[in-house]
Amino acid sequence: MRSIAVASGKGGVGKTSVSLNLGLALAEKGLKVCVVDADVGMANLGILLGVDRAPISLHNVLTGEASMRDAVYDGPAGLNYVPAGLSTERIRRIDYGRLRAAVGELKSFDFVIIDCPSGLAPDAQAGIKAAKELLVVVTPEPSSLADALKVRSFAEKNGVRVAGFVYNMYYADAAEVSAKDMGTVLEAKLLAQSPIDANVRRASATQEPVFLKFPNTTFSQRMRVLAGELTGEPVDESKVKKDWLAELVEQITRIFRV
Amino acid sequence: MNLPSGNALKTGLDVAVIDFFALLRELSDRKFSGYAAIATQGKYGIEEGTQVFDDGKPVASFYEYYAFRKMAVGGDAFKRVLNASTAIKGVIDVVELTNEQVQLAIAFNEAAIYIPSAAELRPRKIEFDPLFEEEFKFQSLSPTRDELLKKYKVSGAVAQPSAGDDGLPAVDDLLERLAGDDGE
Repeated sequence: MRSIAVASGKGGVGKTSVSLNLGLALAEKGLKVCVVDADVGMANLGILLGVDRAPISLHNVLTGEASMRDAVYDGPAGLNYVPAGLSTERIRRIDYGRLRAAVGELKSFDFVIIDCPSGLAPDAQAGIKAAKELLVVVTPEPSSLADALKVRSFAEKNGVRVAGFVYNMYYADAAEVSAKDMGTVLEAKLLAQSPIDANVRRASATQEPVFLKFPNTTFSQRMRVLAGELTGEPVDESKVKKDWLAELVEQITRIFRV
Repeated sequence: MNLPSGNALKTGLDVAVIDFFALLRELSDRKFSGYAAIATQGKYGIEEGTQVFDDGKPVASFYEYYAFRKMAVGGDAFKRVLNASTAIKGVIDVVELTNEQVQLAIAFNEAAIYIPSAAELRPRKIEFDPLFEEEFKFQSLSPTRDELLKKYKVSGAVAQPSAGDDGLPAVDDLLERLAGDDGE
């Protein structure tokens, strides 16, 4: 079982979107995947899946009321997931020290993707420490870079290997921090990059994973690339069916970049 | 490179005409303290080298490529200063400083301290090498991590985070984020 924490430091960079849709991209390859929503304070994974409430969630596991196996649900397209509860009850009784052992109960899966909260408060720290690898999600801003550096540093200090980073939501604007600069500063491998893709927001609004609602949109294709990088089966992007309109916009933006 | 304005001894010496090694010898004989600034037109833009002297001895060197906004210091700069002295187009100014001014200048630029060997100061014919400039052009295309940390002003983020480590985590931080929540 490979356990990968998806973290960023900075909020709003697309961690949950990456966690969920990477999970679906891995499941599309026939792998057994479980995505864990470790953001017990601001649970969003269930919202992106259109799940209202789950009888047993990660909250129950971390308060010792249930085992992790009881909190695993069948999701779409062969994906499994562990939701965090939406309610703010029980938060005071949560013991984050249980998270690592709880993830260990999922050893029957090929991949466990842990969607971590933003920041580096104890809940985020527990999410990172519960995994063996870290995938950092960044957006092309210095603030994202600064926060990602802290997350990376914390992971290294706690023996979590940095698998690489995803460069997300870029405009290909000259003012942005480039993916190359990100990689140099983070000292991490760029595994996938995705420009701003309006279909991600559209899918979120309808509470369906973008990978299923818009399987050929740029973001979905890049999740396939990411899955390929993580499984050692790089995707030949020239052979991938693309959203031609989104691709055209991206190329025009690159050409006129100053 | 910022140095005190000092007292201009020689200005506008043409590099195409001047014998730089003879100049070095002259400044040595005079026990000159100050600097020789050599400005040339490189392929990509203006370059300026500064050779600092203390009592006639070369003691520190700087070489700046304005086009790339990069600077060499020390021994690397010294060889570029020698190279620039063989350029087709350029000028040299010689500015006198007090010993104290020289000491202060090199105290704030320790990385630039370089005392050439006798062999390096021996008069000889030097062919102009354009690769010095190309080398810096290449370097400017691939900034180092330290340069990027400074560029994006995130150097402080590489320090170890102060928030927690291996102890049992507490929920207090989470409760602060949920300010206004009544909890149970």
